[in-house]
Amino acid sequence: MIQEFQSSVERAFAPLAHVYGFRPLKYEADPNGYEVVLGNGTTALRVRLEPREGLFVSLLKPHDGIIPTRDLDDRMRDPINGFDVDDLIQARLPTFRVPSTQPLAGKSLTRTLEAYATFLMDNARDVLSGDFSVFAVLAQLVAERIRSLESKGHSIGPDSRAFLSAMSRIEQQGHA
Amino acid sequence: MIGENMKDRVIPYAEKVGAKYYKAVGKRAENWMANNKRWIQRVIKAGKKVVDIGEDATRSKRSDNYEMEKSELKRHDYPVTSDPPPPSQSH
Repeated sequence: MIQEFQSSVERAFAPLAHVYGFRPLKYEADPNGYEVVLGNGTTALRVRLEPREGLFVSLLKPHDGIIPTRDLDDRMRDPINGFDVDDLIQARLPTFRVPSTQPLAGKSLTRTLEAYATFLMDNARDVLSGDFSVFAVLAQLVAERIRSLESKGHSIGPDSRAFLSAMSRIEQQGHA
Repeated sequence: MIGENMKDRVIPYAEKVGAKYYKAVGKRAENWMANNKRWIQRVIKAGKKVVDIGEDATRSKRSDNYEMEKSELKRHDYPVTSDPPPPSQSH
């Protein structure tokens, strides 16, 4: 399955390889899913398929050449190190629809991957080239989501608390 | 421990604090939700402490499995700890 997923990701994101030099950096399979990390030196893209939860495509900002993971330690250390492309879609082209026909396998997976690739090619030239200024906008979206969940009485977890703390620091620096 | 995003959040945190978590088993996708439901029901029946680290707010899609777990806990009016110690203080 990992080989099939890997091939599907590489085919779908081939335009990013041709135009922005993205190449596969990592393949991984774990009990909860499969993931491929693509990168081009300035920007990384994690494509993760969790059969139970769905497909998650995230843009990551490398630091000193090191690509952050999305795991708890990295989130606690540097909460604003990456965002899901779904939020970039929400920020830039909310009318854009990514098909999500279940199960995400075979042709339905290909269609979904190609939709993300198309969106990125048409709407994310800046991030794909290493300009992460839009992350400030995406951080606001995530912060609003955390506050909304919290206001409804949901548990928000240590990573979300770290995220809000980081946002507070940034806002204070902005006002200073 | 329950929450969204097993690989990035729930498993690393559970391993830091020595908590147990749901381990997906079986290759048949149609059974995963039922298996997960049986797991949380066993946790409730055994009277185990449940820690909830919540949704992965960086994701805009919500998890049906996590929603089911919360729904089962609520249905049994089962107590949930929502504010565990930070991982850095748990060693």
